[in-house]
Amino acid sequence: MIRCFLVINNFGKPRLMKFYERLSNEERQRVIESAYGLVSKRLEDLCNFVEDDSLFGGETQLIYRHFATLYFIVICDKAESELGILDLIQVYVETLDKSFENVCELDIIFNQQKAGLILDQMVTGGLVLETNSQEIVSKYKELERNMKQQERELKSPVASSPRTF
Amino acid sequence: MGISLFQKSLRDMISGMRSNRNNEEKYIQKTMEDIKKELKSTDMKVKTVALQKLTYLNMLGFDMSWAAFHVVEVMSTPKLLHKVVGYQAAAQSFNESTDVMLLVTNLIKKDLISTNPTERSIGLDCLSNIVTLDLARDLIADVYGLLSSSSAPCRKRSALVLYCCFLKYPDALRPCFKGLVEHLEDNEQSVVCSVVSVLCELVIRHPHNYLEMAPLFYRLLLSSTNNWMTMKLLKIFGALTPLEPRLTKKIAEPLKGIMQQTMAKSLLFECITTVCSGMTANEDIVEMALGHLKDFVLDSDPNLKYLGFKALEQFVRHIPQSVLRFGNAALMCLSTADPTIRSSALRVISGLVSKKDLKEVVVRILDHVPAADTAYRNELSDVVLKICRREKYALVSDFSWYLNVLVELARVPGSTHGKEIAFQITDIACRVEAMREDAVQAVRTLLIDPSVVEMAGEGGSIAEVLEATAWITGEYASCVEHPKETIESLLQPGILKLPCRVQAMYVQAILKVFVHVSNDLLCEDDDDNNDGGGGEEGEEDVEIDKNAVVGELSDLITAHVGQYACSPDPEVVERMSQLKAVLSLRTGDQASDGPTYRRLHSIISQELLPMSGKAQRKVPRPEDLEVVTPIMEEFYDEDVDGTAAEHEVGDGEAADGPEAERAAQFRSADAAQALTEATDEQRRHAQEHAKNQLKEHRQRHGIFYLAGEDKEAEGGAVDGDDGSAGLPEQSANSETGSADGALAGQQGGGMDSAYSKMRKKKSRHRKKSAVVEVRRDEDDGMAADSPVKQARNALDVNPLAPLESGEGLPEVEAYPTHYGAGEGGIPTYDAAPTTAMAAGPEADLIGDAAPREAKRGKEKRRRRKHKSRKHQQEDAGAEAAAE
Repeated sequence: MIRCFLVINNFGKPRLMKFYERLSNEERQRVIESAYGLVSKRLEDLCNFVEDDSLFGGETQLIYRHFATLYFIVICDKAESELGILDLIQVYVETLDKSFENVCELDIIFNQQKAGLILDQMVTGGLVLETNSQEIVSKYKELERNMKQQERELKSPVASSPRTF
Repeated sequence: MGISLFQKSLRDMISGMRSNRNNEEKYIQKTMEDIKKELKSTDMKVKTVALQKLTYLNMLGFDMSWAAFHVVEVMSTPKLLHKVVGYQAAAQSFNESTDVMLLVTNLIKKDLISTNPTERSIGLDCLSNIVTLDLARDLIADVYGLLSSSSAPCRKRSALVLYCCFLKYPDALRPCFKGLVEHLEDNEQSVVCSVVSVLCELVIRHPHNYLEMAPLFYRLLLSSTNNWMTMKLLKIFGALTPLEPRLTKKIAEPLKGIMQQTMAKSLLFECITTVCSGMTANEDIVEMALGHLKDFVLDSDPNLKYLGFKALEQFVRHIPQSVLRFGNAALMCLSTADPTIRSSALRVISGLVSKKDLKEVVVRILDHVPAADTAYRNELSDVVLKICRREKYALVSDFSWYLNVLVELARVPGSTHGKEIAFQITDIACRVEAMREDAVQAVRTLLIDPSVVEMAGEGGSIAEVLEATAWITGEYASCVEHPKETIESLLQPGILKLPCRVQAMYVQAILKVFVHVSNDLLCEDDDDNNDGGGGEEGEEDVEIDKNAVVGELSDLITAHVGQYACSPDPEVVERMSQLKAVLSLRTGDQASDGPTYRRLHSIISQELLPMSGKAQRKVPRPEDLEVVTPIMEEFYDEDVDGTAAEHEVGDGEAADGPEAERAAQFRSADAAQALTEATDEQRRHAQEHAKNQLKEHRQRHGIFYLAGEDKEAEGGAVDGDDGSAGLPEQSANSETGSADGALAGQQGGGMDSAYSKMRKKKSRHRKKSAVVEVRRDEDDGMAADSPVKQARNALDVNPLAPLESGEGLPEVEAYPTHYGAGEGGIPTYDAAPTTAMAAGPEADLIGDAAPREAKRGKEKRRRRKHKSRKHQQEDAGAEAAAE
């Protein structure tokens, strides 16, 4: 099971975080900090796995990929295939690339929600839902389309019965 | 509406943060205030944007738990675009203790039974992120219902979300299990795949409950065309085969087929891990797996290399003999730059090493030390020390060589293993009589090397090794070959930079060596023990020469020992005075000196055996012995403070090192003065008295000082922070003020233990702050065990057993009809009549008839399609309905 999916930039700023385990705010920040501490000191051509027992109380592995200015980090337990998760990260980045056209850090900063929703099409509750990049893109597009369509549909009746909040 | 015009959007805020890098904190503070205002706005759009900003700030570490109610408000808007913002905020900020959780149940229920696929999917997602026991209990029936939805993506997602619910609400596993497993035959592969993922999680946690399902998994393995699913199935078999060895035979063939055919490295690796986790008895397949593993280990891709070693570690644990051939590859890997691979390779090596090749392996490991960085150097040292110490030095056959290895390890710059090295050297010297000479020779190189002392003076754990070095030299003075050189090196000026307890040990060693040499030289009747320092003397003029040698040594010591007078530690000053007193006994006349030295020697030559750490406990405590009350209140405090400060400085841990040292100096200088006021005569008398008492005591309780079990001795040496367990005589004469040796020992022990407790506490505290502790939410305050862990244990049920009466899913409640339209936007609960689970879909329609009129036909068709499905549910449903 995947415990968390993090995107952190080269300077340790989180750009996207998704925890599949309920943690308090402080605990999450500590995980982000230590995950960044672990990956940032590694050179480029080393392997993409880090073992550290202190993260999530052991029995977990940290798998990451470094693209340009961003670290994509997955912390998961032993039930996940190591190479599978590496591929998953690749798929995620590819999907982002497809949906943003040449994705860069700024895209993720300014489009948090979109990046998060795309991730939701890929992983649900810590389990992998879909690994096909094409499929993920089309699922996300469908979601987006539906949301916009509903927006339009709602607009006309809203005028007749205004909601009071 | 006014706010809306001037409201900063998320984009504005982020841009603002980027342009206000210098006073970001102030900017965020200001933004936070704005957000608080905006969240109270009646305009949903303003509220949503504010929440979006808050969620972003939360990611950067700012608290948003206070906004939980506003999150629910945004979640409850009908507009999907807004709702999604609310759901994401909830996923990020809600936890078990969030009190508005009750308000969420109906929101999500409404999504789950919606006909809009988007609503269903974001509802499921949100549930998976925020699920709690209550939510799971209230919504599991709906999620389960979606498992038979007509849309494949929905079925797929709901299978995964079911697992999230099981984790929080384990009671649901059994009622849902049958329906879940049925979807292994779903005609949509992706649904099968996610059900397999869920089963994989379940099986890995409690494999024994799922053995009966092996044939089903086997069929899936044969038919699977999806690598992702095959990997999960292999994981399942990896968990099942250790419990059922017969499975090995069954799946060996398909595994071989996969290994031969697949191009995917990930799948290949999964096959290898499956083999090493439970199929090591099958030689054929092990051979094949090892063949592939070789490619991994030798691959230039660091990822594959690492995974290769990771699998090797498993093999080493089960069948070390068949992976011996990888030993060389592992040793080669020690020079790679990747710390993860190196650590793994080191673990493989330490599992493979045998008595025969220990020397070679250790030499090859040590080869890497000079080029390594500090962390790696310490890792390498650690591995060597652990390999050799394993099972009471079972692998070491040449201790003389090993002692030299230890000395070499002690010299490793920046080493943190001084304590362990010191322990092992002392341990070997104490226990193995034949090794004492070698030990003294081995440590001699450390002793006479001024650069080592300098290194120790700069901090680092080598000081601990020097302490052991001095102790061994003094204790086994009879093995010292060059007494003059030894004494000279014990008097090096650099020693003053070492921690005080090391200095004290040095002074004591001088005394021991000197007394020993003098006795050898001056006592004629000691001819049988003439292997000591007298060896080099000329055969003629023996008497004059001998006396002169002693005189020379005595002068040498007298000339230099004064340097210790300014030591801040009373112990050092104390021992120095003792030494001086012994020197002053010398009259220069051999006839009168001889007996003096013989008497002194008889005290020192008393052999100290390794003592069980628990030995003191076995000595009956005299009834009149009072160990709790301090003898002199102010002295007691002083001493503890002094020791603590000294330890801090010695370990280089105190941030305010110099200050602490100075303070300690002041305090203990007073104490030293007070202590040294006693005359040398008195002191010697007291010392002798203590010695005699200890001797008597030993005779009386001799049995307790037998070399204890290894474990106990180990414990002793580890516990005794300043080596008091290994070196009992020091603690006896350290308290010359009180003549009673036993009392001194007890007292010292008491303080020691109090101190070590303090240290332990401290170190634990330090550890705590260093380690990232990730607790799951325990905010319920119900139990010490985290709920997730509890839930995982509770998941340990046999899902295949038939349902008991009364066991079933909670009923689906119809959701309120006038939801969301109420005042203040607070979603309200409506205790509508309950319907049985199987009737779920109908209930939906009754509840929210108007907007779905058009879709009713479709719904009906769907139901007809799944009629067969419903029949199967009836077992569970009927029971539920009966209630």
